[in-house]
Formats: sequence, structure tokens, C-alpha cells
Amino acid sequence: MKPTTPFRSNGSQDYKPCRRSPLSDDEVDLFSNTERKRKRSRDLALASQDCVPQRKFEHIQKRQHFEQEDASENSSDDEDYTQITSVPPELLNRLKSFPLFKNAPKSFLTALGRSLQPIQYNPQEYIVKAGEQAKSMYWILRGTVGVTSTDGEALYAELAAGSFFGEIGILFNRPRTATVVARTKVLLGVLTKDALSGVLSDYPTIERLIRDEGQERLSMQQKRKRVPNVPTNLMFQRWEPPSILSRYSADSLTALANDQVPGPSLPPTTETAMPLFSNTNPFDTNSAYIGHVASAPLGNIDNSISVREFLSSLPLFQSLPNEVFHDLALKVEIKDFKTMEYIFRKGDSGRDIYFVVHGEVEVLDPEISNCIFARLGSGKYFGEMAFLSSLSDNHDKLLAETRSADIRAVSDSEVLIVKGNVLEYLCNRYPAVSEDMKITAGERLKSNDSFGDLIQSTNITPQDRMVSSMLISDHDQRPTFKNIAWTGQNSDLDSEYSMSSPAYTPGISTESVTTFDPVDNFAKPVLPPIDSVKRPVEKPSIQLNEPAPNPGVGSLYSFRSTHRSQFTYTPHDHRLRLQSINNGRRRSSVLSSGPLPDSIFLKIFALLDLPHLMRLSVVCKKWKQLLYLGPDLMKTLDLTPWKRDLDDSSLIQITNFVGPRPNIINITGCFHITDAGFTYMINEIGIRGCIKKLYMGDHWNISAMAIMDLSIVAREIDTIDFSNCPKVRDDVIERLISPRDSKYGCPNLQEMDLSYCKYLTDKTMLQIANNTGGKITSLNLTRCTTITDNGFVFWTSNQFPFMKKLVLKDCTFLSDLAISRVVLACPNLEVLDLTFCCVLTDNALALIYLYCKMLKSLNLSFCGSAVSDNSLASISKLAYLEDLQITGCIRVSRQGVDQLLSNLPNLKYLELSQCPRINTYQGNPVEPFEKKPGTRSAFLKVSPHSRIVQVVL
Amino acid sequence: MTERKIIIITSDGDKFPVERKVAEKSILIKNMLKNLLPADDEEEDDEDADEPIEVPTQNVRSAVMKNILEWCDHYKDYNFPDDEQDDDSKKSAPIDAWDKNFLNVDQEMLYEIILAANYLNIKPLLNAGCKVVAEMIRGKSPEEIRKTFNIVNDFTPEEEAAIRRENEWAEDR
Repeated sequence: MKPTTPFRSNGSQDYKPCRRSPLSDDEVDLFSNTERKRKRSRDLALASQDCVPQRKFEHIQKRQHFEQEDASENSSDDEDYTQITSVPPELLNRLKSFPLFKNAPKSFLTALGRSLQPIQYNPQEYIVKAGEQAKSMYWILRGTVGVTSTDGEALYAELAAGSFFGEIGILFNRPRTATVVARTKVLLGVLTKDALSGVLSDYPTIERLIRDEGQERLSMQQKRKRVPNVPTNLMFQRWEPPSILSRYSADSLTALANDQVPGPSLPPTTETAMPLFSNTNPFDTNSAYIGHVASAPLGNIDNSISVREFLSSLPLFQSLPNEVFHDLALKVEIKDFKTMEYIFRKGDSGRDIYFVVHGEVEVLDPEISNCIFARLGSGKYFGEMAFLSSLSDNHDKLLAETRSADIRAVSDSEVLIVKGNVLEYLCNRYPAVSEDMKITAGERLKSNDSFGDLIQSTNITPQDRMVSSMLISDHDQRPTFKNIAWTGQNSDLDSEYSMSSPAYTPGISTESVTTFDPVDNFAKPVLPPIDSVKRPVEKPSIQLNEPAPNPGVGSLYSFRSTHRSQFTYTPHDHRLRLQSINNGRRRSSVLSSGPLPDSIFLKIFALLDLPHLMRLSVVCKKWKQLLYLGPDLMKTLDLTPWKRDLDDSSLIQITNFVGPRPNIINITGCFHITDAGFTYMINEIGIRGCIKKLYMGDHWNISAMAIMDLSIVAREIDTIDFSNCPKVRDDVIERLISPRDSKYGCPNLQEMDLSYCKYLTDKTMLQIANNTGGKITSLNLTRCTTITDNGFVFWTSNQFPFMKKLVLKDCTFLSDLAISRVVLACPNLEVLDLTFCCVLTDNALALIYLYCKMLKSLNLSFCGSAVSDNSLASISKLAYLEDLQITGCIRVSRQGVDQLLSNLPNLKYLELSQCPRINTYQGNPVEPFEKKPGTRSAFLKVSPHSRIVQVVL
Repeated sequence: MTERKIIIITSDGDKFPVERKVAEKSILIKNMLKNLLPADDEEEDDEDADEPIEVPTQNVRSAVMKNILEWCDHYKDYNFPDDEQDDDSKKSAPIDAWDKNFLNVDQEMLYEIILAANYLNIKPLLNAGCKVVAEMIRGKSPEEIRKTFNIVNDFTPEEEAAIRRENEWAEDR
């Protein structure tokens, strides 16, 4: 073992056991009480007898060092407790120190401890390999692991004790997307998939936390635009700057850390902002090291750091509460720009705001040649002017959302994009954000103006311009030259990328050709003015050499590319760009791909069904590309034709084929699908695409947890059908329609079908009342028999002005009270179904008439006690009623029917079957309606307008 | 008022005089005419009213144009619904019998008609053509499809096997 690893240096040098642990030898070993001890060593002496004692001894030493540091607060009741449950207190304490479990109940930790299997790895041993099937997740109890490229050459991240990894593989059901190697000797707690679900099923809050975290990492992984073939890291919790820092400074930093020593209470540098990322584990010097790095100034932000961490470190967002960041981290996009690439141009429309993650960009005005207003480095943002003006000038949005300057990447830069509407929402809720932005914008505007004047009035030389631009950029509080990121921290990354991905090499040469070097400007005092014109023209040629950095897709299909790396899946937009550039090259493949152009083949493909399309992808490469990436294909994913035999593995195949394209998904009745397939699908489609409508009726196997994932990945969803999904209970609804400002939920929900979700209670009604903002247009509560009048009482203080359709069929216990709330809350109701609401009385119909004047369709079948000749008299004034069904209402006689026919001006359809008294008038038999031969219906011509009314008998 | 003559000139120089409403089945030509004749009620520019309007269509050769015009003539009095939004019904609707017969031509001609319909922006004809091609694809093995469309298989056998594995679900459907 290398003496440089922090863990080792720590254990062997600084902590000499000074007293014997009072605990017995058995308890000393973390897991010795559990019978499931399983060790691994590098020389494949798997759990062999002769190496166990040696290990045990190591553990004793470590235990003593832990003991020494451990505050004595771990009182005896802990031990009593754990002795009963046979989980060693050491392990419990260790678990307790996981940031994730800060508030977890002890029973949970015990349950988890019992399910964990310890495995020890020696340095350089592989723990998981990219592409492997995921069976477990790992909790790092001691030591550090590295996340690396598949060959182990390039290190992307280090994770220390207190972290977990591998959760995405099992929660979201996908193969490993990165390789993890032990950096030091590590002790891991392994939790198998089954054990995890076993433990978590009793602790929904914690399951939710882990899932949230996993989704966040997953979505960042998918959004992160990266060089192809570099496996995007799934597990970037606590990233460290990869190369130099972690290698040569490990020693010095450890020494530093030991100086500052992490007492039991480490100063919570990151804890408040980042509960999950903070490390309060007092046992591990790595934590101090990481704390140190995390608290480093903004300039050190590397692209490897977690996006949430980056966001929360931005001064602009200082005023935001923690929970916003999770949401924000899911919503942002990350984009890479090459040197000299324009991020946007003056006059472009758009109101997204950009934050520089690393690299540097410059602000320039195309109308003043060669004039650079400012340079912005990491942590700085731009694009705020268009955004602010879009907020203020509502009269002409298009004009307002116009960029006021060009932004160009000085060096290869990574920027994080926050969408205008997201930011608008933030600004509305947290005015400090927009204030801060306004101040910055104001300052920039002022300096730009004065600078512009300067340029116009005096004919200064480029040097002067350069210098003054430096001066101006100083107001951003950056020493401009010192930090210009020509090489800096990026170069290490770049070289690593180029090592692992041959495709990237051309990019390097491009870079060397086009790097915009300010020294050049000084060397050539008078730059020809065409220079600034020429650069954008050069752009295509730069693009030509660019190796298609394949953003995101590398991760989406990454596990595939492990077997066949020669296929690169290029996102559509990028592909189009490439195509327009390399026309010559493309044409040759057109020759072999069929007689018609792509656009027409896409039209043809749109006419074929899913299995056909999937089969067609083996025809040729071009077709495969069209089928996988054609933008208008697969907008609707309707799997109901195959519902009988569609299982999880086929759903995963289908999801991989359709990619993020579907907006409408229908898996109703696909009853073989379980969490595994469902979770994979909605995360895959939801995170990269946009799910608008989801129909998932008749799903008994999909758990509430899996459904709740929608509240994060499908926030744009407007229609959801949970018909006959008994796992949908109050908690699911609560999660989906949580308050507008929460970090999860689907604020745009309009149509909800909750029929036959028989466990829904009045709590759901409360949620709907309070948190949907009255946006609901359609609600189906058929057979939700646990919902009572009280649920509708919650609607008293809320209006649903857009509610058009309400189905309360078979809600047999609802009384007039519920109806009174419904009619008051939903004045614009057009469709109301009250079939089998047997408790209703005549009053209900009077209420409906009084308040729901817009009704077009009303179903009162089997509401025998509500429908009588008298009550029909009241609803026969509903001017818009077209469709009325009163099947099985035995009190109705011809008198009531006559009222309906003569008074309802728009009536077209009247269902009167099973109404035995309709052929009597005030007790006397009258002539029955004449049925059309062969049907159950009579078609009556009714005055005054000679309308035809279909009467079903 | 006599309608001005419209003459469509094909890529090989042939001239096809057509009625305006036939020509206007092509949205491309319709828009072109709209620009040329801002308001046909006001006959101010009488002097060249007798001059036929020549519409060049560089991308379409005469043999194809003859077919296209036959189609346009057949539907000259039929108004197609403006925008068929319901993709599903469009997808499932069978090909109109007349269209099917009309498009029962050799493949080369079929493709040229589709391309011309695309260029001239004649949506119903384009859709019908696409449907015919989709019929040709339906129920064929990939090898047969390659043969039909003269496509070279540029996958290695291993790659092809891998894709088949990926889409295994679709194989027996």
C-alpha cells in the first residue's frame, strides 16, 4: 500500500493506540457480530482463512483510533440497543455520520446495518466496472475510491468515506456507467438491490432522499455535454479536481488537515448549503481535505464539481433556500463552447441566463470592431440584460428578449444555462435575485456606455482598447490577466480527454490554431478591422474539425458504446449541424441509404408502428440514425397494442430506441411492467425530454415511490391517468401536486384520472384544493369511495374556474353537501357524472341548476332519490344541456320527460332506460315512445325548433 | 374576366398549359401566383393580361410532371382539409383507391413523384406516396428492404447482431 494515501498515513503515523479498547475483540471488528463477514483481497484469496486474522488486527488498530476520537457521547444505551439487534455500535455510528442519514431514525440505521455486507478492497482493485449489470450499491465506510475511465487510466473523481455510489444502477435500473477503483484500502458496505428495497420500503422519506439524489446525478449526467467516449460520471458526489491536486497534494493536504484537526465537530463549511455533500465524518481525514477544497474560492470551481454545489456557491443565489437548488440543478443545462465560438450574438432573441462554470468568455459589440467590453470568468454570469428587459417590458416580448451584445468563448468554456422562465419564477419568489441582477446589469450598462463613448470619440489603438477593456472587466473583481484560462486547470482535463478519446484529438489541434491570444493583439498594434468579421466566418471550418462532442448522448447510450464504441449517437441538433457542414461526406452515405431524402424517409417512417421501426434500424447506418434521432418520430409512445406481453426488459429496449422524444406515453394495461422498467422509462424520457401526458391505467405492480419520481422528472406534465392504480395513495398525490414553490411536483397538471384509486382519502381532496392553483380542468374520481363529503368541504375556499369535467361516478357516499361544494367551486363545469350517487336528494339538482349554468352533459343514472319530476323541472332550465342520462330513476314519469323535452333548447340525447314510469302521466298510462325498428331509441321531433332528440328507452 | 393562362415549364423545357385551379393544388405554385397576381379582381395591368404566366419547375422532368398534373386534375374540384392534425387517423387511414391505382407505377417513377410532390408542396399526394412506400416496407425483412431500396448494408455482421439484440423485442412482432 502506498504510504501517500491519506488513510494509511493517518492510521500508521498520527494515531498511536494509547489505550486498549474496553470492548471485546469481537465487537472491535465492525462486522464481527454479523455472521456475514466477507472479505476480498487483491490476490484473490477470497475470504481465505489465513488472511482474516491479519485483517482483524488492522481493524483493532483502527478501532482504537476511532475510539480515541470518538466523543464519549455514544452512550451505553446505544450499545445495549445494538447488542440486541446485533449491529455493532461502531457501524451504527459510522452510518449515523453519513450526511444522508442525519435525521434518520435509529431503527432505520439498524435495519440498514443488518443488511449491509462488508467488503474490503485493496488499493487499485476494481469495485465496479462500467457496463456491468448493477446489483448493489455501496456505502464507503473507510477509505477513498476513485471514479475512473474504463481502463483505469484517467481519474474523474474521488469519493471518500461518507459517500455512496452505485445507487443509480439499482434505483434506475441501468448498467454501471463508470468504473470505480479503490484508491486506498477501503471498507465498503454493500447493499444489494433486494436488501435496499427491503430496508427502504419502511422508510419512504429516506428512500425519497436517495432517489432525489440519484435523479439529480442522473439528470446532470445526461445533460452534461461532454467529449464522447468519456464515460460521464454518474457518481460525482464530492468531485475533486482530477489530476494534480489529488495526486501530489494528497500528502500536504493531509498534513494540513491534520493540523487543523477535524475534531468531532468539523466546521460545517459546506454543510448548510449542501446537506448531502457535506462531510461531517470526524474519523476520516479525507473529510477535512474535502471540506478544504469545497470551501476554496470560486475560481477553483472545476467542471467536475457537482452542479448543485456550483449553483449554491454563486453569489447571485446566496439568498435562496437550500431546497431550491435541487430543483434548479435539475433544470439547468450545461453546454461546452470551443474557443472563439459565439454563445450568442447581439440581436439574437433569448432570455436564458448563462453562468460560466469554467473557462472564460468575452463580451463584445459587433458594431464596434474589435471592442471587448469585458471578460467573464468562472462564477460570472451573462445574458441578464435581455432577461431583465423581458421582465419589465411586457408590451413587446420579442423585442425585449433581444441580446445586447455578442458573447464569445475566449477559451474552451463550459457554461450553465438557466432558462428564462425558471429564472423568472425564482425572481418572483426571491426578489433579491433580480435586484442583484439589476445592479450588475446597471453597472455593466454604464461601463459599456462610457466605454463605447470612449471608442467613438477617440480613435484609440487596439492596445488601449485592450487595456481599457481590462479595466472595465475589473469591476467584476477579477484580476483579468492572472486568471485568463488559456491553459490553467483545463489543460489537465483536456489532456486526459485526449488520452481516453482519440476522437477528440482533432479538437486539440483546432484549439492551437484558433486560440484567441491577447498577446497577439499586443504584438500587432493595428489589427485589420475585418478581423472581427472574419472570425465568425472561420467558425464553420472550426466546426468541421470538431469531433462531434456528442453532448449527453454519450451518457444516454454509454453502456451500449461499451460493446460497440464505433457507433456514436449524435443528438439530432448536432447531427444536423454536422450534416450541413460536411455536405460532401454525407452525400456519399445518402447514396447507399435509399432513393429518397431523409426528410421523406422520416415521413414514411412516421407511418409505421414501433416494432417495424425498431426492426428497420438494422437496414443501414443512415436509417438507424434517422430512426433513433428523427425529431418528429415517436412523439407519442402508445404501448397498449402490446400490453399483454410487454415486460420490463422490452420496455427498456423500447425506451432506448425512442430516446427522449415521446411527449405522450400510454402504458395503460401493460400489467407486466414493474418498477424496474417504469422507473427506467420515465427517468430516461423525462430527464432528457418532456413528458406531457402519461396514461398508466391498471398498474398494480408499480410502486408509489416509482410513481413519485414523476414529480421530479415530469414537471411539465399536464395530463395523468392513474385509473385503477391501487398504489396511488394520498402520498403520491401529495408529492405530485405539492405547493407551487416546492422543489418537486407537477404544477401544470390539468387533467387527472384517479378513478378506482380506492385508497385515496379526503387528504387528496385537500391537496387538490390547496395546491393546484385552480388549474385543474378535468378530474375523475370514479369509485374513490374513501373520499367523503368532508373532502369536498376542503374545496369551499377554492375555486376551480377551469374545471370542465368532473366524474364522481360510484362515489356512493357523497351527499348533497358535497354537491353544494362542487357547484360553488366549479361554476364552469360542462360535464358532470353522478352515476350511482344514490344518497343525493332533489336539492342536489336544484343546486346544480343554480350554479352550473354551463353544463352540457349530466349523468344522473341511478340517482333515484334525487331525480323526480319535480327536480327535473329545475334542471330543465339548463340552457346548454345537450346530453342527459337518468337511467334507472324510477320516480320519473312522462310529466318530467315532457318538461325536459320542451324546455331544454339544446337537448340532443336523453337516456331513459330502466325508468318504468315514463309511460304514465299523473298516474294514467300514455302512449309509449315509438322506437326506431331494430334500435332502443326513439327519435323525436321537438318543437319549437324542430330539433331531433334521441331518446334511449 | 378570362383567367390568365398558366404554363408550367419542366426541367427539360416542355410546356404544360394548365388551369389555375389545377396548378394551385401545388402550394408552391399557389403562393407564387399569389405574389405574381396580388389581387386578381383588379385588372389594372391589362396590358399583359393575355400573356400567359410561365412557371418554371426546374426540379421536375416532363414525364413526372405529366403524372403530377394528372393527379392535380383529378382532384381539382376537391378541397382537402387544411391541416390534418390528428396524426393517428391520418396514419391509419387506408390509401385512397384512386391514389393507389395512380401510384401503381414503377419504383423510379414513384420516387420521382414523391420528390416532385415534396418540392411542389402537394401534401395529399406526398402523403399518399409515403403511404405506398410504407406499404412496401411493411412486412419485409431488412434484407428484402435493402434489396427493394437498393441500400448497401454498411454494418458488420457483429454490429447487425448487436442492434438486433438491442431491439430483440421487436423481432417477432
